[in-house]
Amino acid sequence: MMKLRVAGLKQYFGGLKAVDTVSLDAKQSEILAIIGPNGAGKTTVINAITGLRKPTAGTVWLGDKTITGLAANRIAELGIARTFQNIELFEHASVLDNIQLGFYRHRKVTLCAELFNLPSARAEAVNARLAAEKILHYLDLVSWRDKAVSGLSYGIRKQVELGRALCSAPSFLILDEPASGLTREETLDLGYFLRDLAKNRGIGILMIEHDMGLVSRVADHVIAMNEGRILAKGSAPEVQSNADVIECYLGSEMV
Amino acid sequence: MYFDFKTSYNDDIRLIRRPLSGLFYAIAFGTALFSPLVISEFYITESSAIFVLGIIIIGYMISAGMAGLVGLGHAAFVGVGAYTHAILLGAGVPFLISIFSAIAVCALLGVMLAVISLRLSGLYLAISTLIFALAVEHILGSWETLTGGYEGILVPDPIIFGTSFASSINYYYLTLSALVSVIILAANLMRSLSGRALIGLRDSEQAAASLGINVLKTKSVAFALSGAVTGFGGALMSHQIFFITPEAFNMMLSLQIVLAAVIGGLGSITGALIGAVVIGWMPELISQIKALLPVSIRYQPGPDLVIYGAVLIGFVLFEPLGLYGRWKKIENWLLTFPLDRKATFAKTRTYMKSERV
Ligand SMILES: Nc1ncnc2c1ncn2[C@@H]1O[C@H](COP(=O)(O)OP(=O)(O)OP(=O)(O)O)[C@@H](O)[C@H]1O
Ligand SMILES: [Mg+2]
Repeated sequence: MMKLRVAGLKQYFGGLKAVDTVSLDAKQSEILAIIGPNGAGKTTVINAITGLRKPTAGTVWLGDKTITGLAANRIAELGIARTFQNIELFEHASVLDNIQLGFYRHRKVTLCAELFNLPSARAEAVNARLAAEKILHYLDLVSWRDKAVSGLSYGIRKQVELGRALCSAPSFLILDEPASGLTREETLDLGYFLRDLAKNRGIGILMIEHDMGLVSRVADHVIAMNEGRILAKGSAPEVQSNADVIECYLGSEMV
Repeated sequence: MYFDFKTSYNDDIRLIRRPLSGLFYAIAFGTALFSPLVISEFYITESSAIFVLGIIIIGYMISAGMAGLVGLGHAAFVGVGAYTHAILLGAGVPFLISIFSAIAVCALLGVMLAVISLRLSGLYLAISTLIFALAVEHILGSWETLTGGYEGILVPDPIIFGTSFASSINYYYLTLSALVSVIILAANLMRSLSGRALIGLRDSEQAAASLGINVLKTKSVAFALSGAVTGFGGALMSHQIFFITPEAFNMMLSLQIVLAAVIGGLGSITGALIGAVVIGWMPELISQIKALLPVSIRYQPGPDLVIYGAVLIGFVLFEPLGLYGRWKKIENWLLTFPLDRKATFAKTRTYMKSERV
């Protein structure tokens, strides 16, 4: 069982300590949730893990391999997939094309084979399509297959982004507020998918989430952050009853 | 009403997906193949010119339409392709070797441009490609020992394995087969994962990177392919000009390439071809319009640019998807006929995006 480990992670923007000495362990088959108020540094942590920004200090391991500071595409190739807080889809492509691109890290053929449509390229196109179809069926997106992403509702777009990440068959899946903007029903469905992905497919999930209902339903472990630091770690009820966490959220509607 | 029946994923990957479009391509190809037997010499020459333009614009479409790297300097690739080919032919290099060398040189030039503009996008990229083209034009003009400077050089006749393709009808078939090969390669690219990666790059670099796409490498590939195809067009074009000078590859040509892509519709091969036809006939059209103008301004160099500019602005404003986009809307309406679905192409709300990830 592989682990995704982060130790002593710091990310400074000038004088602002957006992330200050954060350590965490995510395991395959488990769901780790990060909660915390706006500006706590949650997104900054996962940007550092996924290589979008080099951390100021700290180490990230995938299994026993150090991946700190690798380029984002290298980290994706190693099997860490992610979604974005503001949905980053390929707007002018169809749902199918978006999801198929998730398969990119498994691409083996050369550009030349693709240009001349050699049998190897055709076989790979079929493989990419098969992988995407499985995801379309799994997430119940079949009826949207050929629609352009730009015209879809917010909830569907979130699903497509999740599907694209899943199509890369990752060992770790990192989600930035997957339930924000979803309706109650959509959130319930999402919870079901997340449990299934972790428990039955062995994917390790690290998710940032504000919806405490969802977090307590699905998360095995919870980390609460504030001002770049970790306030509390533990199971959902433990973290929710932690005095520091309650104080941090006092007056806000989130608890 | 039309129903799409598919029985395997291969059906979707095939180039020709519907029996009807197969028929259409067959008719188009048949017409192209046999029309030289009936049309006059003038139209044969004119058609070859359009085929070459088609190649050039498909080349531009690969970087601008697919990868979203909208450049304003593709005349540079046309020029370097033409000059490399002409110089090598002049030195006695056989046609095929010469033309593949021209393609290779332009691919390298594309990589160079990619390296120069590695982290630029949007307006800054457009400006850097513009300057790049000006620099290339200048080099072509001042490297006199190689290029003959502003006096130009003569382009030897195209002779492949002893057969001359200089006659208008032979040249017609040469350019037609070149165009068909380029179309097939571009279509293969568009349905491959690499082609989709270019589209990914265009719409979100961050998301592309998070899927394992090497953004800088893919950009270089886009420019290299684009440069190679455009340079190929340039090499063929040199045989139409006979005597090439650097001015043949100036801003005006770059503008025409952009204009053709926008008129046809950025991002599709069909669009590029439609654009080539329109731009190919534009000089004719412009001379007709000019005939209506008062004599005092008729012979000034200004009106051409103004007309090109006006057409470009008109399309960007009123038909941003180009003529091919308009056709797609009509086709969609026909296929779904009794069910009118206005909403399909309605402008949709775009969700707010912020710079932060
Ligand atoms: N690129 C950047 N440059 C400067 N400051 C930044 C940058 N990115 C984030 N910050 C700052 O770092 C802090 C943490 O931001 P971050 O986006 O990680 O918060 P978050 O916990 O994800 O909040 P939210 O719940 O609003 O998404 C904020 O104060 C933010 O303004
Ligand atoms: Mg955030």
